[in-house]
Amino acid sequence: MQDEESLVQRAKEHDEAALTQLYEENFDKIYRYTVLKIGDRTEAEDMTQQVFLKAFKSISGYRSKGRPFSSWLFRIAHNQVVDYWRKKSKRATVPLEETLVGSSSNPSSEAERKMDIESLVAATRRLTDMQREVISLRFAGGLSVVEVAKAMGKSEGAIKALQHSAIVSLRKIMATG
Amino acid sequence: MKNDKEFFNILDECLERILTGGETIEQCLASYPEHAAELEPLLQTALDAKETLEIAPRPEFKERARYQIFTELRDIEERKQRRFALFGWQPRWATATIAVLVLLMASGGTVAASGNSMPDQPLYPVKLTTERVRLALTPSTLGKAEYYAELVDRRVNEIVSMADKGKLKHMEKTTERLNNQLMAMTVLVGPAEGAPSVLTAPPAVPEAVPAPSEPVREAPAVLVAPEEPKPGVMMAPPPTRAGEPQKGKPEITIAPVKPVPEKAPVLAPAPAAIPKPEVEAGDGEEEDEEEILDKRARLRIILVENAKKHPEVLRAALLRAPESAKPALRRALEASNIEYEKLLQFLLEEEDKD
Repeated sequence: MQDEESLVQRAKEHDEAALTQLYEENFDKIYRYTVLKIGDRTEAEDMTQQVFLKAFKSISGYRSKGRPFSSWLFRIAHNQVVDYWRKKSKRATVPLEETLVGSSSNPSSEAERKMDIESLVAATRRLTDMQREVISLRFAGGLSVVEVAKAMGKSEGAIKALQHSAIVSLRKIMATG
Repeated sequence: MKNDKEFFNILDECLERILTGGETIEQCLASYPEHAAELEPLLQTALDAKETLEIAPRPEFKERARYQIFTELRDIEERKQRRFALFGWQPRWATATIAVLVLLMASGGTVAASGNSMPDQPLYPVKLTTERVRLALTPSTLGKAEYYAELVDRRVNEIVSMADKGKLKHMEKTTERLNNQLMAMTVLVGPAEGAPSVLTAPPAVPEAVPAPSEPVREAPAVLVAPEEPKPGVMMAPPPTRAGEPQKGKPEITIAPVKPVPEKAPVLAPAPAAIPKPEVEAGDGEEEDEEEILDKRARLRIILVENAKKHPEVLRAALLRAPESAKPALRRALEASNIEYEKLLQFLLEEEDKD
């Protein structure tokens, strides 16, 4: 944490090496989080870029408050996702299977994975908001329960309970299709 | 409830061991055989979800996004610094205030100090503002043309200085300014559509010149610069090639990449030294005819001299500049060649008429 604090401090002073490190350490996590939330890999890439642009533009105003830096990025990503769905609801909806088409250098494994991600995204949409957030932060964002608790402003116990109920629901949804 | 809590803790511990510790589901179940039946499907679901999410953005996208983000951050930082250099604040309405201040301080230290500043220096925005104010307050077309000639001279020196320092961004911007100011000067000096040139016509109040009360803008906007950038100015050399006489027009030997011919200075009566352009009084009173003729002659001299000097200076800079600085220098050279060629062509035609 001490290391991250000094890294963030340098980033706040516009140290490009520090900003690059924060970018490299967190980009994939934020990307996975947004893929799971919106189910569109291309949109998720653009959104992830926007998250970092917003974060780095306003990094001088960032206060850690004991939370990991990534939880701030996930918060920005969450807000972006909310905006995305708000805008999307005003436009014509696109079938999930179309939006999940991504790019890959390996088309066959991509096809297999596409089905998996597709059903996972569909399943998480049937969870409660809290459950979905816990699953997104925990499995897509790679945060620990302690970090998820800090990011969501809840107790560790509450997050563990949500994690349990989310996995149980997910299993049921996946089993029934 | 207590049992639930205990199970949540066990589930989380197993998840940590499997997802981040690299253990297998079996290893974890072996630690909690009494919960194995309940744990196993949940751990399997969590592991499936985690594995499904082992995806990454395209590496080329990630790299491009990083480049774009950092470029934008640098631009923002640069803009901030520039704004800070110019008093730290500058809403649009402040332009008028600045104009007044600049006038009040005309003989003062800041403006004086900014006079020699270069684009990479903090006082440079003050220099540009001073120039815009002076342009706006110069009522006659002849006076404006003279002042543009001076500004173009400054821009050329700044481009060379920035090229020597390897400051590409400043070079690009200054080249753009040079191009705009050259075009504005050509519009003023050359024969505008249906209107005679300032070098031949009496300096009546020109249509193109805004009243001093108009908002101060970038130089090309103040004048009648073309609405769209001339494609030939920045992108391609002019259609006339060196040595190719144009039909119906007097042959000139000015080429985009060749120095101005030695015969050029005979276009106007040559004073002993090139006088520095002065700003006219601007009080609206009619000037003495002799004075007007003097000013026209002086402008001719300046233009002819600059037409010779600027391409030479830019070519010399091009020879010693690093590769990265060469495209901007070439553009500056091209722009000055094109505009000066037009001007000299016009001056030759005028001389023929005389």
